Parts: sequence; C-alpha cells; structure tokens
Amino acid sequence: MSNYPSENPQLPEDINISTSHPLKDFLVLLVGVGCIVGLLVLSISLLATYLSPLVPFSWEHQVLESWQQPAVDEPYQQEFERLLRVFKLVEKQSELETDMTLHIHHMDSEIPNAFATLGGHIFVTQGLLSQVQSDTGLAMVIAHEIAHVKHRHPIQALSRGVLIQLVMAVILGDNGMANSLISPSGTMLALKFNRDMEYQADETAVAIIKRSFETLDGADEFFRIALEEHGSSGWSDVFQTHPDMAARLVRIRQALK
Amino acid sequence: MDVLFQLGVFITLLFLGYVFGRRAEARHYKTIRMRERAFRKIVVLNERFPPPHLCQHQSTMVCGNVVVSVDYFKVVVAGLRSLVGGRMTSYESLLDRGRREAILRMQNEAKNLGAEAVINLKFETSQISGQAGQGLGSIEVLAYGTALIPVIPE
Repeated sequence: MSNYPSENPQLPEDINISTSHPLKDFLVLLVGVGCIVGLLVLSISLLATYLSPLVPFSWEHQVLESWQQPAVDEPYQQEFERLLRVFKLVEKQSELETDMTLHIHHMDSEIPNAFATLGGHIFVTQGLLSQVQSDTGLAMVIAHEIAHVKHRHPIQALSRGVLIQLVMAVILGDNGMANSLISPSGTMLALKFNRDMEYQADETAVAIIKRSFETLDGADEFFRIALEEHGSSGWSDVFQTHPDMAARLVRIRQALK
Repeated sequence: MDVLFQLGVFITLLFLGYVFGRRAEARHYKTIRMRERAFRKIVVLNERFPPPHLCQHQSTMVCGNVVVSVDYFKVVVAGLRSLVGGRMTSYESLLDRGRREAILRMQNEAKNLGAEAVINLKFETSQISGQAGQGLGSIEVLAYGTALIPVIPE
C-alpha cells in the first residue's frame, strides 16, 4: 500500500494551543474586567446617590417598622430621659420634611457610638451618654444623626452597598451571597456613610444646633473626647464607622464660630 | 482586615497555581514531545477497517486513560475569560495535553503487545469536578482503538 503512512506525522505545536504567554492573557483580562467593574460600581454609586432619595420615606418605615425600643434598665433610666429631652429639643429645630418621623433608641452598650439607619431610627449607646456630659455635646451628636436621616443617607448607603454586592455576586457567580443580601438582618444597621455624607451631616447638624441653643460651648465635646481617646479600647469602633475625625473637628469648629 | 486576608489567600493561591501549574505543563509537554517521537512507528489511524496488508493481523483493543487537574491560575483566567468571551487558551493547553497523553499511553500498550498499528481511534472525555462543582475540576481523557498485531507463523 503506497498511501499507507509508515509513521505518524509530526504536527506543528501551535495548532491546538496558544503560544502567547499566559500572564499576558491574564493581565489583559484583569485590566479589562477591572475597568468594566470599576465603571459599573461608579455608575451604581452615582445612581444610588441621585435616585435613592426619590424613594418615599414611608418605604423605609416598612423595612424597619417592627423595631421597638426595649425597656431601658433601671440604672440608665435617668440617662434615657436626658436623651429623650435633648432629642426632642433638637428634633423641633431640624426642619424635616413632613412625612419624616424620627425614633430615638437607647442601646445598652459600653462602646460610645451613635448611628442612624433606615426609617428614621437613631441609636445612641449608653457608652456615649456617659462620656458626653454637656447637653450641647449630646445634641450635636443627635443632630448629626438626624442630618443623616434628613439627607436620606441611610437609603443611599444601603442602595449602593446592596447593588454593588449584588453585581459582585453575579460576576463571581456566588448565588448564596446574593440571597443573603436580600434578608434585612445585620447589614442594615452597619450602614457605611462616606466622607462627603459625614461632612454634609456635620454642616447641617451645626445649623440645627445654632437654632436650638443660645450658647454653642461644648458642641464639639464628643469629637474632642473621641480624638483624645483614640486608640483606647471601645473607641476604635467609632473610628471605623466615622473616619476623618480630626478633619471633621476642624470643620465643625470653624462652622461653630 | 478580613478583605485583606481573603485577598492575600487569593493572590497566594494564584501565585502557587501559576508557578507550579506552568512548571508541570512545561515538563509534561517535554515528555509528550519526546515520547511522540519515540512512538512514531506505531501508526494511529481513525480508519474503521484495517488496511489490506494488515488484514491478517490479530486485533485487540488497547486504551490509554489520563486525568489532568486544572490549576488555580487557569481557573481564574478562564473565569475572567468567561465574562467577556473568546479563546479559553488556559484550558486549550490542558485538553491538548490530556488528548496527547492518552494517545501516548494507548500507543505504549500497543507497543507492549507488539502491535504495528492502531486503527479506529476514538476519544472519550469527562470532567471530574471537586466539591460538587465548586472546587477545582479535573479532566479525564480516554483514548481507545484496535491494535493490529502481526501473527507469528508457527
């Protein structure tokens, strides 16, 4: 048989496999996909900032409607009353939209902190109440949290956080993560506000304080103590949720003058 | 902190996958080329019927089977590639290695039987996925054919 091969052919190597370096392929993909994801995250952030304030405030209520203030322990009763008194004073001057309602909550925690979340719920810890002695100082903290609610920061932060995580879950193909996002547990309380939100809230808070009190002495008390105590246990939490404390104190002091 | 830790683990796995995966692949290709040259005389065809001059040969089935694991680097590159589409070059070389290695093992068996040729070559391939499809997978390639062994006259 003349057409029967006597041996197997030697095929060229680059038919079935690529001869280009695998790292080159990887880097091109990484940069390309990175750019696309970056653009996506940026546009989601912008969308969340501009569109989420259009969500009616009553919708936020539905999410965290069932949140009830548990009975405050006996030793803290006096502090709680002080909190309520200052809160009512500040709330009157906060010039909220008519459909916005605020709820103040006392938290039995030694870590000095305060935060605002969906539905106009504001939490102040026992740790903060015992640290901040002056009413003006406490009022400044409460006014700051009210300002977050007023500017619709919680829903902006939530929308952005959830959307970005959702996009990541879709890209990474992690369905379990996407499902856990929808459940309202945990994540809603730990909303992260960005620097601009904090500055905006401080600015509004100072305006509210100026309307509520005749003298502004001690309005920066919390921020001053926070900076002094920086690094000691319990305070590191505050700095994780509220960065740039030093820069903010400078701005607040300027605004108070 | 948590994010940094996860990123560290990811980069370490990526680095290990790249270094060891690439070294294993380079070594594997070296032996594949060497053995392909050595086995060139054992002709492999996908003809279903033996050529006329080999019709009197004894026939028996020979097969070669190989399982190759994918490395983490290849998985990551393929994952990125699957977002945008295009040639999955990281898996191409893996499958190429699997097919060629399977043929070589089949040829080796044929050689041990004293065969001159293998006809009717066929492939089977399957995927072995670790941890219910979540972890790194491996590929199995099976090559089988009919070995033609010359009958020694008595």
